[in-house]
Amino acid sequence: MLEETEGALRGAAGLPELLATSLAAFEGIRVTARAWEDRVPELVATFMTVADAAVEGREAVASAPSLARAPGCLPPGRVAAGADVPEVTGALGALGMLLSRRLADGAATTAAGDRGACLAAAAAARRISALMASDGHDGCPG
Amino acid sequence: MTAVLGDFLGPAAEHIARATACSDGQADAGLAGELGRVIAALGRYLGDLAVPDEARPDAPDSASPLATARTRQALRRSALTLRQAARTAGPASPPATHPATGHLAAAATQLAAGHDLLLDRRDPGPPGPRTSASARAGRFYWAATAGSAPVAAALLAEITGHARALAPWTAQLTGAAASDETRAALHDAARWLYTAAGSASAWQQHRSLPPGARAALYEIPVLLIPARRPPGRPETTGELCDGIAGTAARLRHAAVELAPDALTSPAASALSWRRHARATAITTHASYLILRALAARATQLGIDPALRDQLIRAARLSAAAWPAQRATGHIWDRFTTGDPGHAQLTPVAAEIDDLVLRAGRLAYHNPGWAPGLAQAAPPRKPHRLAPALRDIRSVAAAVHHAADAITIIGAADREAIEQAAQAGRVYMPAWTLAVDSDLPYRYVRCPPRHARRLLTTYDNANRSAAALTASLDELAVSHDLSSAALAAPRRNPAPRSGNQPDVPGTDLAAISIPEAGQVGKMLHDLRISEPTMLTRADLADATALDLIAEATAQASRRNDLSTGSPRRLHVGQSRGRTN
Repeated sequence: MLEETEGALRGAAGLPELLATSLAAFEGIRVTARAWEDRVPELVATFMTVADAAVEGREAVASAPSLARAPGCLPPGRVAAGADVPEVTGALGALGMLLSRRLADGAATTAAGDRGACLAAAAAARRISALMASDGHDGCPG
Repeated sequence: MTAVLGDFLGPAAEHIARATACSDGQADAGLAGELGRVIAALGRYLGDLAVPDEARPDAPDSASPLATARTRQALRRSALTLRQAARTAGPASPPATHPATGHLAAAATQLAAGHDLLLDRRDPGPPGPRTSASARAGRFYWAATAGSAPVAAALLAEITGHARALAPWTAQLTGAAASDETRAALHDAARWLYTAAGSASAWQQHRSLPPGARAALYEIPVLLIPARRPPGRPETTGELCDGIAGTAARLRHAAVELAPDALTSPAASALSWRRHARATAITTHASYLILRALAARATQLGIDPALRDQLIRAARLSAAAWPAQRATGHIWDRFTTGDPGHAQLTPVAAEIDDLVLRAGRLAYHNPGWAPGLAQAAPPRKPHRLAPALRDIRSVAAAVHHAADAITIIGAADREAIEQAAQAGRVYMPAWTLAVDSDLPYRYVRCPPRHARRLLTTYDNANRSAAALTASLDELAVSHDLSSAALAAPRRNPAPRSGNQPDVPGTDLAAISIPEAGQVGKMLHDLRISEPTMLTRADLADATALDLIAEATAQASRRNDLSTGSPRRLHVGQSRGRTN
């Protein structure tokens, strides 16, 4: 469930753990967005763009030197079955915002290679948050 | 409105007709120079025709390769003679006074402009270096159509028609020449023009071309690449349609321009291809909503049932096309091309969201539509999208532009991705393979079976995109939409080679074609003006040209057999494969 991923992300201690949980979080966003792409005609573009941003975020995290060499098969979180559109968009937006904050914080305290990866991933997370915001603002600082 | 070659050939023909109607005035060096420009421009068009032996001399509508080669050489000789005379007179010569001079200058400009735009369709702006890549891109439509037998035949007929009009007029000018040098040049030029005009039987064959052949020639798109106009403020439906046409033209050009450099460009990356895939899927989905609304509106208005049925068919094809496009986005979830920090965006990826926004703003009931949740809106009602028939036509044309660009982008991407996979530049995250988690690498080189899956996904998407575009081609041509010219390359495809055995090739570049008309030139230098001898000289030169053209064609055939590849723009082949 995405809530579990969110909890793991909040509790991640140290950069390697933050990167690993971020990877899982982006993957969870991707899987969820893909699953919702063709359910609501008005939101086809929204979910496709979110999934695209999640892949870019995941790729950025995967390029960080401090990430464990091969993370193994990830069990991505998903939104609970039976959820409606506001629940899904709310969950994805909140996770995007949290990812953005945690990765930006992580970037501030790391070496150059990791910093670039964290900043790129944070930017992708910010896009996800903005896409899912009902008022058009991502709610992220900066 | 899409500019077409006829927009240049038509006015040029009018100016040539007006020039040849001028019977008074002194034929000076200035006139000779402008006449030389016209003839040179005519010859350049023939210079773009495909390898001569690809035309089919046995077919009634085919341009004879020998006639093409002879006409081209004769026009070059004629132009050279006149321009040498003009150069000899020098810049100090008095201004041209013959009333035909202005018409010839205008005709030459029209012909040259049309030809230049075929080769490089950038918006005329500040002069700058032309890259070979942009020249290749500009040749896309021209290469795709100039090799087709009907178009080649129509082009040859058009050019020889002008030669037939100019030859007697030029001969007549010799009587009004301002100097001996000009008279000699006009005399020589007239003889070459007669050669270019060909025999009476050849002319009869040209005249018997089916009307569609000339129309196909005149309909070749000459698309200027407009400056980028990002969608900012909300636009009217008309502005959105124009914007889609402009954006599509830029994307089409950019996709073809990048294709030859796909293997080495850092922009040829998963980052770019993923964005292309996402944007083409969203645009095709928007096109589906638009076409569905147009079909409903056509039914509401009770207009032409044929138009309504074609819109319904296109809507159905777009309903099938967008999931196939979406699959190309999905497939990139599992592939990459390496460190995203070093990836760049292709020009297509940098601009394709302009197409997404405009297509979305046409499709949805929100002039400020964007992919975000805050801008989401229901699809536009049919009567709001297209109140009247003319709106249906302009919106359908815009969808046609978008579909055409998407088809080209898909074909170019497929080709580039195949090259990247073959070069070992496509990877998969190790964890997505669900194998031994102790893999020492984060990424593994894409295994062949996965590469095949990637390419098959593109093949499926490209097939469905091509089917949609073909249906819109048909709609645009049958209802004379402003986008009808886009259909030309698909409706008049260049011939393709079949199965070919492996035989040694010949370096065609090493075959030197002797200067044409050497016998005639020799007689000219000897100041021989006796008609019988001159005719015999022309025949001797023509026979030599025929022999050389035939030998060149034979060598070319042998080369094609050995290389197994037709001499066509590479992307054009890929495009053909997806049709």
